[in-house]
Amino acid sequence: MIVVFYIASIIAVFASIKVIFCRRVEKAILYLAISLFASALIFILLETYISAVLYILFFIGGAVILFRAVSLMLEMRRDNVENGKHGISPKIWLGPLVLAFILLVVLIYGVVSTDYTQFTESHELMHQMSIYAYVLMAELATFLLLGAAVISYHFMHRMLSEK
Amino acid sequence: MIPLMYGLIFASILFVIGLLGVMIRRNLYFLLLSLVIMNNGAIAALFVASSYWQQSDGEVLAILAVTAVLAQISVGLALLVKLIYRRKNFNIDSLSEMKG
Repeated sequence: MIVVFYIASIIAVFASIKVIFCRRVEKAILYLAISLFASALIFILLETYISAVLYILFFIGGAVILFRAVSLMLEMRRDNVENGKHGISPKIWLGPLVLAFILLVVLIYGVVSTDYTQFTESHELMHQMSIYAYVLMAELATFLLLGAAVISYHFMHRMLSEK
Repeated sequence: MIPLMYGLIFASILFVIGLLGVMIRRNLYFLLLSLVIMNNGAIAALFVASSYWQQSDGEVLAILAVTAVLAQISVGLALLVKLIYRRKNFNIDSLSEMKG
């Protein structure tokens, strides 16, 4: 099982790296879908089946279809901002790469040096949220999505009517 | 059973890759893709913690985070369309010239 976790995490990490360095829009979307599906495989390995299915339905379906629809609507094929022949020039990505690597080292040091034995006993106080609190959170999430949909419709409507 | 440490290291790596993408790309479209990768790392951390404690609170929070990411994507793509119709390019740096 741990071997499957290694393979899926390596696929997810490499697909994510390809997403941020890719210059073609369709390839970037496909690599993003591969990365998200590898993450979903890891969630299934963690035995959180229902949430993994909800993740696949909402996140992968919703995010990938939204990105693809916008790229089709605007007829994007390539990244026109980055004009280098061999991708993004090292002058741009060298400084952020060093900063991100330092951050990664600090994060991994924090994860590794934590003593996990004190986390094993379950805290009863943390599990006091009842089912009604979850219903309230679901309603809040629905309001959030409704607000986002209204904002998107407002922008699109004004843009298309001005045109 | 996957150890908690490995899952958290995986989530950290995904988060840092997304942060690197946010820093180096100037196209708003790819910036939103990098934001999705960053949020995917946070969601992975929530799933791993929920599986470690065998309680379903983390999964509920993860699904809430998925909803927040979807709202963020839809608003960001609407802003992208607005940027295209106003400025005719995808460069996020062109927004710094905007006056009042």
